[in-house]
Amino acid sequence: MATTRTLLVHSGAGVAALIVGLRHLGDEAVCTHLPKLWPAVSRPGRFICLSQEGNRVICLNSGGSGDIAQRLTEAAGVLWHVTHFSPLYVKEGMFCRLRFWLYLRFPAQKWLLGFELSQRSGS
Amino acid sequence: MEVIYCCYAGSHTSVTAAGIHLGLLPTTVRPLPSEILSLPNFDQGSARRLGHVRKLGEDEYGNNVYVAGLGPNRAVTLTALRLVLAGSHVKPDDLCIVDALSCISFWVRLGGFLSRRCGCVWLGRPLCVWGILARYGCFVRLVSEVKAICRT
Repeated sequence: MATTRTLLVHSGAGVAALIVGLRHLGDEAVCTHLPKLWPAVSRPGRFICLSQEGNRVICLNSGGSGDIAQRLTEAAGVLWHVTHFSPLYVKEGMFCRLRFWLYLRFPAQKWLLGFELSQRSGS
Repeated sequence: MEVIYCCYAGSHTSVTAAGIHLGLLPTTVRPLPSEILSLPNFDQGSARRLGHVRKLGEDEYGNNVYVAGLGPNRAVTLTALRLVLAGSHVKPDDLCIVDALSCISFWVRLGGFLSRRCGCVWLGRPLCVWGILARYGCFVRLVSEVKAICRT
């Protein structure tokens, strides 16, 4: 049985999930890593495991089923007594996919991800 | 072993399959509509609150039987469910996730939509039962295949 604390963070396009998964890094580092890691979560259902200060963070692209995935994981966690596992649904701003697409082309324009970056502290 | 029957809302096809698995419904003859209606959680829950998993009972081999409503994007929700289970005490070999939607018919879809989504229970519920009875053989075959896996 795994005992490492695991955070399952998911979002509609996977961008905010990745940003939360990289929250131990500074803004600059996050913006550097995002384009490299995003292909791993670019489609709904895809996920990537990251290590964050000794804990495991799984970033999942939950597509349009974020609420359902959140309820399901919470229910499953209670049912199977998975105490070291926390699901977290992070909402993304409007046109997140479009803004991220623009950001990939214009990496200097970090304001394009401003909303998602600002969510890190609150998550 | 943990056997999870999955469908869209976790209230019709998965409950029926789990009912057969647990011996609440017969396998040799078609059940009466009242037997299907008396299944626990049959046609219960709102289609607007999808995403749940609950235990229905334990079969004769000691396997735990669950039903899950995975919603429209099953690939995503099933991945999320698998990720939770990967962190639990359940070994991958002891997990059997069964897609009960393989036995769904148009009438069950329509009945489920009318009953759960539109609140038209008086019409939707009988349609669901009728659709399930029409494809009852498929449910029995599905469960017998699952039980064969569980026994080994």
